[in-house]
Amino acid sequence: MARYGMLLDTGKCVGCYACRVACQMQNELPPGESYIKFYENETGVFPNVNHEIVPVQCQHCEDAPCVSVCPTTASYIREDGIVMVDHFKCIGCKYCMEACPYDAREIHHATGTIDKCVFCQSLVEQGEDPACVTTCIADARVFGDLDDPNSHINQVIAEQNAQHIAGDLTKSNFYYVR
Amino acid sequence: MTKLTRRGFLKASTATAAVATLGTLSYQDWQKQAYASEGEADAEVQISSSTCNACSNKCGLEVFTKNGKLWKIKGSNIHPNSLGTLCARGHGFATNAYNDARLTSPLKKNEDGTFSEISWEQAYQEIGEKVKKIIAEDGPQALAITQDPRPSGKFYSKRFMNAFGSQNVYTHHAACNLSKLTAYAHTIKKEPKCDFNNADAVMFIGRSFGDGIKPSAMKNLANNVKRGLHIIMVDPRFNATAHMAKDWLAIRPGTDLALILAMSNVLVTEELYDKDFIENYTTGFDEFAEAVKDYTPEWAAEITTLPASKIKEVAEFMAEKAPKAFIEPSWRAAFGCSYYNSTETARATILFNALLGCYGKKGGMYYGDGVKFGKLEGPKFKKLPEPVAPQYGSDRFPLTPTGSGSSVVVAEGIEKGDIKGLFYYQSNPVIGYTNAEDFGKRLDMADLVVVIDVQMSETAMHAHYVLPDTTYIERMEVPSSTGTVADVRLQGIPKVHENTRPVDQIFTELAEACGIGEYFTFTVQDVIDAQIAPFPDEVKEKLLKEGIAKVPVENPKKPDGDPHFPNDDNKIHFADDVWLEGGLGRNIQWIEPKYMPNPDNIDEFRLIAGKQSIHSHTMTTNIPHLIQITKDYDLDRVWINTKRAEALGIKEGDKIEISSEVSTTPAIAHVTERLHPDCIWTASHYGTKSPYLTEGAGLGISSMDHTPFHMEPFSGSNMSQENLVHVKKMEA
Amino acid sequence: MVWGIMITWYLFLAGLSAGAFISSVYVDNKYPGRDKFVLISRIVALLALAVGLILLIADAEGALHNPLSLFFLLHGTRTSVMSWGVILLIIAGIVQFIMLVYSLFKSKQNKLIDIIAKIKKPLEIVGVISCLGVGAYTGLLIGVVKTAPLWNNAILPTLFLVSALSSGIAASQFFSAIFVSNEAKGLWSLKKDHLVLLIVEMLLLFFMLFIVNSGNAAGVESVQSLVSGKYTILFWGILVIGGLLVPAIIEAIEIRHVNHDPHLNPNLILLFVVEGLVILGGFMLRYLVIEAAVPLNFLGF
Ligand SMILES: Nc1nc2c(c(=O)[nH]1)N[C@H]1C(S)=C(S)[C@@H](COP(=O)(O)OP(=O)(O)OC[C@H]3O[C@@H](n4cnc5c(=O)[nH]c(N)nc54)[C@H](O)[C@@H]3O)O[C@H]1N2
Ligand SMILES: Nc1nc2c(c(=O)[nH]1)N[C@H]1C(S)=C(S)[C@@H](COP(=O)(O)OP(=O)(O)OC[C@H]3O[C@@H](n4cnc5c(=O)[nH]c(N)nc54)[C@H](O)[C@@H]3O)O[C@H]1N2
Ligand code: SF4
Ligand code: SF4
Ligand code: SF4
Ligand code: SF4
Ligand code: SF4
Ligand SMILES: [Mo]
Repeated sequence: MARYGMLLDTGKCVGCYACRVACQMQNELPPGESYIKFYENETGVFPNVNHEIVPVQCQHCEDAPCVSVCPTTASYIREDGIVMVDHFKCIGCKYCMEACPYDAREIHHATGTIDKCVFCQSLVEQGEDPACVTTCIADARVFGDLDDPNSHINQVIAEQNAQHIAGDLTKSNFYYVR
Repeated sequence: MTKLTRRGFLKASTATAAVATLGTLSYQDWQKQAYASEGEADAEVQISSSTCNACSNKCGLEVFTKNGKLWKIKGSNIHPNSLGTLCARGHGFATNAYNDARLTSPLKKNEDGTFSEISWEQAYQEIGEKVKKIIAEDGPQALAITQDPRPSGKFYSKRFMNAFGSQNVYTHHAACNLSKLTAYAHTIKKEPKCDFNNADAVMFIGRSFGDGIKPSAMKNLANNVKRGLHIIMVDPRFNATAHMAKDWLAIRPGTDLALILAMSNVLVTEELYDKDFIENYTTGFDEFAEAVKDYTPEWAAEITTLPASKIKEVAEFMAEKAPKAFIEPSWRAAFGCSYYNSTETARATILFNALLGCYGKKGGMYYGDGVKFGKLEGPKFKKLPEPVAPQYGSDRFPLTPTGSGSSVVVAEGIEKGDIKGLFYYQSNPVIGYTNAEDFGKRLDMADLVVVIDVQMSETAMHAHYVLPDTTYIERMEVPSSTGTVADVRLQGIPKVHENTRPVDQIFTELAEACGIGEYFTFTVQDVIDAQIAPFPDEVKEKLLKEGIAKVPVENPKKPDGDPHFPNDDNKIHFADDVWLEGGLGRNIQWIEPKYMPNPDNIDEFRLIAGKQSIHSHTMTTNIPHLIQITKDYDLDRVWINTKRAEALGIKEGDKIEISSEVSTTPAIAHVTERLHPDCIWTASHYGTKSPYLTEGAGLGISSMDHTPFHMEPFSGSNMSQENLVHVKKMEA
Repeated sequence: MVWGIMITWYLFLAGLSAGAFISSVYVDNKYPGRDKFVLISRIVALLALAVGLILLIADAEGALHNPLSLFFLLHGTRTSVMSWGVILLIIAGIVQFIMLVYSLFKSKQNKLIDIIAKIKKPLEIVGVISCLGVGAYTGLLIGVVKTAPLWNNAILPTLFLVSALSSGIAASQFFSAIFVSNEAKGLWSLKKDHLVLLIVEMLLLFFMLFIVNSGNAAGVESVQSLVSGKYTILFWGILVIGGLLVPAIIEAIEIRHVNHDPHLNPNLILLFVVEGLVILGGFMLRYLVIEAAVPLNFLGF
């Protein structure tokens, strides 16, 4: 069984929001709901400055607080590591939103249920990359099987010394190069 | 079209089905609105192909529909500009087909300035009469059309004008890169390609791939930076690509010419230029060497505010890495159209690259052939009449390529009574080419203004007749090409509004009404067939079925050491008398910008602008998915340097007032260390003025709000950043 | 953080309900004969529980669209504090309901009351335990949210439990005093315990803030916003001084007087003031803890 993961290189990311809109289209989200949030940081004093943009979405944690707090089992982890929400079971109590350390969850107002990045499971099942990866104009994202030692994502993790954004807080399947 | 049925999310759909039979309160609603991936397991998904129309890159893409409605789009893997990816604008703009602000019927302006719906027949008939009257009184040279070149738009609008005998066909370039085009035209004819994959050092001057996007270029650049490509970013602003650069040269805006002259001076005085290249492929070098003699790094330091040592260092570094080093040809901001000295600045970059000897070399810049389309011949395509007069404005701007022309001089022509009837296709000059009030006033003086658009643009507000086009995703277009790839925009979704008509139909019917119908006795399909006639059969077939195909070309040149300049003598002209005709010197020289804010006046700035990744020019602020990002992240704020803001008592998020000789506008401040203190910066897309485009109303300012109506005398470009503004904090 | 005023009310009311019920059991056993006090406390307890639950569900938008989804609460994960809470609330609610029925119809002779009377003791024990659970649950619910240091600390569940008991006791006295003032008076041992709870609550609050403040930046930010920032007035004025110090001092003085003069006639006005302030303080504690929570920032900036 594969264990899916993603990597994002903020050195490449130009903060263009293409991934946000591609994701909204793929998942048919209204303009105000997005699975990807953007954080930016400016450092230094003119003219010696630097700037970083960090897009954050569901980190697909193995030790997922959203799953452990969910009172209805609506939030669950698939065998391939993808963390999902079963919208039929979700009561919209937002406990998972409070529990998610990465603020990765959104309220889907049309149904009152909770939404988040699902690693484009329907595309991945057809052997394709997630929409945000495909569309990334800076090739900043890599998707793949973390259990396959030869996968491209594992190579990039090793080469670039990619890290989880919050250490091993939640044993996430998402890596950052920063 | 390829058909496929999407696999649903089985678990949930069986669960929903089981419970549905029980029936609950709002269950029906819930199910209706619930997730497509769970609710519509057997929605029918179809895929067709098109090219994006949200900017001039025309990225190839696949259109996915679900039950006949647009679902999503995806970048074409073979199209050179998308290479599988698409930018946010592409995804967002595709939804424009369903936008509430779509034009759905021809409109006619009433006496009181309001608009009424009329029939196509009435619109054609009245426009036709007015056109005939103008021709009878002033000749066809009193007609003009401006368009932002898109496949069908470019072809039909040019043929439409030419069929009258008028050469007055203009593009958006006067507000984009006309200065640069003019500079290339008389040095090496056209812009080269860049060999990023093998380059060691690249200098960007006012060009950010991450802001002013071409997706494949961005992707390629990011990967080459990882490979070790050294980037030098010259920009008054730390732009979205600057974090990839080793050096950020925070130059004072409008002074790039001084920097390049000084770098040239370093190469010449230290003899770091490519002597072989200079000898074999250039003329006039000695005059050039003499001309840059006095432009020392110390001299440039005063003007640019960059340290002389830094100027010297980067020049030497570029020379060290040559020929695998070049100044990227850039696009709009620094020398596309912005300043009084833009043409000269562009010329300087071309010549500096010659000093590096990078043309034709691996890791440098090179030329190659693109797709050659078949000619339009035979009984369906009647030969066009001889033009009655040269392009309007070409006497005043003799150096300017007539393929673009200055669309600004046309507006001046209205005031002088030379131009009487104007057509605009996919073009919004009122808010895009100079300040809205000024351009609008001029349009109001014309006898006839016809705007063909998809929404009520600022320009449409000044039209006598507005004709509703379909959106690109609803129509088929004539072929176009990028490099060695040809594309045909295929229809992705059925027409959304019955009474809209595709561009080809509009022009064909307009031509009929204006008495030139005999030149339009063909369909789009006829044009496609004629243009792709020379291609091998399998390419033709692929094009018609999949929309995008690689075409075999004879000379897809690669960097092989020989520059292969497209000009006549295969040489770069360092000094040339041709420039005298246009009012410039035979030799390169320092030219002051028209305005220069005095840094001692604490509230005085230049207003500069730039692209923002999520918007295109003036046309995307009404796209809900895009403008929401602006709102979520306050992207409409006007940047101001921290120190200057402090001195003016301005804090992040404060309301400020920006005033100039042209207008006074309120704005919200973004206080940042990422900007040169002498300027304020805005994303160039906001300040929407059409009352019909409500989504972006009230957000930000338009970059043209403070630009006076003027033209660079050498190319006719709009000098979009020649301005002087005063900033003050507004009381809350 | 995303939870707002509805969840604040829910946490407050659930805790208050637990405290009021426990208070009713306490008085029933310690001061036999104060049946009206007991009855009113149980009405308050059950009402608070019901309103709290309604608010919880009203906040759960998904359940409003699809009420069926609520059944999945019973399938809940073992790890979810909320699903334990639901079970505890259901048990507490059932016991509270039975005990209320008992209190209401105690005087009547009928089969049902007889049966209840027989199992009254075990019911009380189950009720008290489940209510203690509910009281602690309101703290644990947010306590497991690792990202908010103001919530995720060892003290918060105890603090919430103590505050739940305290505001429940206050509520039972307050409402009893409105309807049956004589039964609400002279409950000195309840008052002594209440005073102890107030003092413990104060100590816990300050320990908690001290610990959170000596941790990471998000914790410091939360504590600072309480003690010297956005929430200063609410924190010091209403929670600490109004909700804890003033009632504790008044109760202490009253209790001292009683120790001197066991027949002292308690002052009704003071009772309203003290218990009213404690209830307000109890709400303010929940409100501030929910509002002032700042999530950890993992981005390194
Ligand atoms: N997102 C987006 N991308 C686009 C477009 C779009 O509308 N939106 N349009 C396309 C088109 S038509 C064009 S022309 C290109 C334009 O692409 P670019 O030319 O890259 O676009 P700009 O953002 O206008 O300018 C680039 C940078 O120049 C800087 N600049 C401003 N003044 C000066 C100056 O005096 N000197 C120097 N050195 N730098 C200066 C700005 O701060 C900005 O960061 O983008 C294309 N891509
Ligand atoms: N304020 C401002 N001015 C600018 C710029 C800017 O960013 N901001 N950018 C400058 C640059 S670099 C350039 S290249 C030029 C570009 O200038 P223009 O080519 O004029 O581009 P837009 O301003 O985007 O206006 C395009 C118009 O085409 C319409 N349109 C969109 N799709 C269709 C279609 O399918 N059919 C038809 N008929 N119309 C359609 C839009 O509604 C819009 O009114 O503007 C320049 N001027
Ligand atoms: S990132 Fe948040 S939503 Fe995603 S698995 Fe982890 S805790 Fe759950
Ligand atoms: S909102 Fe839905 S998914 Fe989140 S914890 Fe509640 S029931 Fe589970
Ligand atoms: S993986 Fe799919 S669902 Fe997740 S952010 Fe990317 S596009 Fe959205
Ligand atoms: S698409 Fe890529 S470059 Fe653009 S914001 Fe997303 S991750 Fe960054
Ligand atoms: S760069 Fe973006 S907007 Fe321009 S054509 Fe490509 S996808 Fe469309
Ligand atoms: Mo442009």
